[in-house]
Amino acid sequence: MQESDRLKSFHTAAQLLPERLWRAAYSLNEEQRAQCEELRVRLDRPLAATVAGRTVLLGEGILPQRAELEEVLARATEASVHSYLEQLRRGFLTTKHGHRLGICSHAPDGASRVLRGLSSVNIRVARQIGGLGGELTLCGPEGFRNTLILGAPGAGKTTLLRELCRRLSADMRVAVADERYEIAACADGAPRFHVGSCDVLSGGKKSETIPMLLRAMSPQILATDEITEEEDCRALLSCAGCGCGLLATAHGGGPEDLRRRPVYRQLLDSGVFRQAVIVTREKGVRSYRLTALSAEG
Amino acid sequence: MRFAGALLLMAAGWAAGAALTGGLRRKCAVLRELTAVLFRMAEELDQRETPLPQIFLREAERAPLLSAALRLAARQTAAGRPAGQALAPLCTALSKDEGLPQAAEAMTELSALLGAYDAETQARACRAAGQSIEDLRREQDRVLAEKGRLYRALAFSAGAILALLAL
Repeated sequence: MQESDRLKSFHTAAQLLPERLWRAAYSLNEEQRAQCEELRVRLDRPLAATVAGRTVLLGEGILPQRAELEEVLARATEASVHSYLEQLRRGFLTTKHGHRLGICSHAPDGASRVLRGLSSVNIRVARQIGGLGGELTLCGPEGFRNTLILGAPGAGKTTLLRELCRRLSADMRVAVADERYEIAACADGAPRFHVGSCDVLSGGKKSETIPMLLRAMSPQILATDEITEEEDCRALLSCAGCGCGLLATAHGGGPEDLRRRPVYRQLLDSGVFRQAVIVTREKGVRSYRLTALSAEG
Repeated sequence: MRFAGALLLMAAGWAAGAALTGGLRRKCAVLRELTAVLFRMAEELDQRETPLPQIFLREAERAPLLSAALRLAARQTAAGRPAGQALAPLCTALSKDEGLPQAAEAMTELSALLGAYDAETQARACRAAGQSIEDLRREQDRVLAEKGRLYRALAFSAGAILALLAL
């Protein structure tokens, strides 16, 4: 992603802010704006930006009010909360520019008709970084088929997954189950990120969309983000049983972290994933390590 | 010639009577359009959960009398303005330009709900507002029919008197 694209991306993210917060966001210099990853608006707390992994407080003395938080939501949804309610009930939404808004409010459960008590909004600035993982050499004849991408939150797992999808889709049928609109950030059916020639099914639960993609799109590789539930694992296992390659991400510092969690143990024991890419980030610099996964651990 | 002039005077009187009810007819037409817009909005929200900017834009094409205000509302909601603010010019136009304060009040109440609740709740509110505006239109239609007859009769009579005097 060119610096000008990053600045554009920051600009569209900052446009979600009400005027005085927008001005505060623009107190960042150009270099910081290009490196800005997040803008956090918290009730009665200063606006905070995450720039190259560090938190920068903005707008001295400016404390966001409830109406301003609601305005952020109105701007992100084009004043149409109803069109995004399914996403909001899961605590986030993706804007038409691909930015992801994390929302904290009072009990956004399935029964609620409105979001009450909005307390903080995290605008994750959409960034596509091309050429990622270039240093990764393909492991074995299968390349990146059946690869699990591991890393801490914010390490860059999804960014790498997106890049791999783009690369692999050049000569393979790649289907993406994009439950949280993070991989392709589709708006009105059009991906906002460059994911190559992937078939993207956005929004639905992975456990439902993975079988649908398998039946309808006959993918050679199926990619998905953030495996967190047992039913996701079951869907992936059934998918692998059909001869389809898998690409997925999960939170964790390494395979040993995954083995401690029952949800993943089953997946690892099955031997579906042959290798893991561990993404780490220090002082804003990402690094990748490829490691083989064995069913025995 | 005199007879023709007299006929013309009577016709002019009838036309003047009809013109006097022009304002009332416009009110009825505005209310009719507004009701149709609200019921269509309810359908759109219920069935497709369409975002408000798209709904307003579509309705601006279907409702010529409300077109300018709806286009403005579409632009403002697309920029993230809450529906309450985006529809304020429409409410002002209804109240001041069209002389329909009750319709403006119903729209103000509705606009506070639009975009902030789930689609079902908003659709219900649209139908309720549409119903109250439909009631208002019926009332205006009745007034129009009564006043229309009265104005036409009075103006026709005035024309006839003038015609008699001219003869």
